Amino acid sequence: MDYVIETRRLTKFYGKKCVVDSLDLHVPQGSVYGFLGRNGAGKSTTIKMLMGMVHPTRGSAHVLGEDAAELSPDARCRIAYLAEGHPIYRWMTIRDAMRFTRPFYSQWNQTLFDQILDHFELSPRQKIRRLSNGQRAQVSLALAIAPDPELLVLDDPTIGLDTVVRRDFLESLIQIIQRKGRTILFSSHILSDVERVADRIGILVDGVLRVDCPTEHFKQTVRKIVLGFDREPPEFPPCQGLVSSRPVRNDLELIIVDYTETHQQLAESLDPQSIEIVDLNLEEAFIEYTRGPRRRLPVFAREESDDQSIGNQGAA
Amino acid sequence: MIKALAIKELREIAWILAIGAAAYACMVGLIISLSMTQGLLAIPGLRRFLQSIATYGSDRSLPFVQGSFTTHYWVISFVLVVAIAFRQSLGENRRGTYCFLLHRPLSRTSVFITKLVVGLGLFLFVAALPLLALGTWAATPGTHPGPFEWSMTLPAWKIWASMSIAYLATFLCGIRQARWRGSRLAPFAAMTLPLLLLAAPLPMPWLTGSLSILLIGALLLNCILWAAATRDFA
Repeated sequence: MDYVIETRRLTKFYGKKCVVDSLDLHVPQGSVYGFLGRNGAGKSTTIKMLMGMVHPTRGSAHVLGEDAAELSPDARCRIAYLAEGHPIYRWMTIRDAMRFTRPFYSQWNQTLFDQILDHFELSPRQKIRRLSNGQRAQVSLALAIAPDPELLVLDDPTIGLDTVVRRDFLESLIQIIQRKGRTILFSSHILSDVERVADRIGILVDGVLRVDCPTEHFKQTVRKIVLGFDREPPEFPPCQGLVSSRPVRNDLELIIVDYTETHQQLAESLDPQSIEIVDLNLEEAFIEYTRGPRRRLPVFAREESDDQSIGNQGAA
Repeated sequence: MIKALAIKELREIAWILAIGAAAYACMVGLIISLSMTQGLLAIPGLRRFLQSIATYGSDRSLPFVQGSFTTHYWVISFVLVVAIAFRQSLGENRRGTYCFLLHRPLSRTSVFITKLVVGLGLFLFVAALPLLALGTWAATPGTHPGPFEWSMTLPAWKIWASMSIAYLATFLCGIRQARWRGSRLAPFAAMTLPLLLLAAPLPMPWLTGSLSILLIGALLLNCILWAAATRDFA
């Protein structure tokens, strides 16, 4: 498999605090990779290291085959990067921003740029400072896509956007994705967005990549098991794949990664009145997975063949 | 692409340059107009008032040598150069636009060299105008009661040249990372003594002065490029 982004034990310390810890990230070519994590998990720092804005303390990162810390101008031409908050010079008009950006790229597609502005009903004469967050995101997207990049790296592109604008923005992204061979890495807090567009996800928990697998695989593998008792529920014995165990009145709610026969037998050994297996959507799975005791979170290992990876997870 | 970047830099600092140019114009205009309207100085109190705000009103003052022209020129130039350098370095940081700028397909060294060339070049151009204007006026026969030679402008040119040190030191303060504001200003503190020595009206062979400015400038430039290459733009 060809990887557009590859990191090896990528680590970043700010002072004594480890923000990103030995990250081994692999983004396959042509994939849409949703990079998830709670606030402060290290998503933005990772993306900035991939774009060469932040220097890693240890480890290495390669983007489009080049060392991320020293990306050549040629490589940067092939990468679109939307930084968090869509920083563009606010004193410029949209036309000024385009005139500033265009000379840097030999493959600037003016027609596409105009079409995107048209689609979002933006006038080139509008001042950036007078645009809403959503409109600024749209301008950033237009500026990023016009050079026809192979790789789009978007750092929380929908943050601060209302539902309608977010939907519009994502639909534009989907159109872009449909272009063959294009890879997208984007971080987000909004799980429904990720579910709509990402075919693969990575979840950072306290700087550690705990999940790196296809989105569907994650959803199918994280299960909530509800054991009903007619008494105070007993403790569930520690076992591989157990994320959390929480008593709720006479029920015991378990979050288990890769629910197997072993878990079933352990559950039955507690003699519950009922065992209910609940399917979770991505948001629920993410919440349940990331709010468990973090050091004991089971890791979703990256597999060459992701279809077979359900049975190959190990405890952290 | 260098041109696009240079135009962007120019547009970002144009208003600061305009204010600086206006301040210089006021200063030079005051000197010239006062000299041309000596009669006005006969009005009781007016001469003393003008002398109190600026000693240009003295009919004994020789341009560039007597009076407080060089002091005022130093102050205006210093404020102007610090404003330009901070706008170009700290301004990008504050607005969060470094990520946008540095992702353009251009080497980081080229980006910062372009910034420095535009900022310093424009400052030197604007700051040279009052010296040339006042010198030309003073060199024109019949405009001033005192003698004038272009060599009398040397102290002012020394200030003009030494401001490049102030520019580079300020730019370095703006770009380097530091734990707190005091240590951020460390490069500036380190440059204060050389800056004062270079700008002071002390006898100094022009070659020594020029070489000092070039050497300190090269050192600061190196530090800026090193900071740009190694710092985190988070």
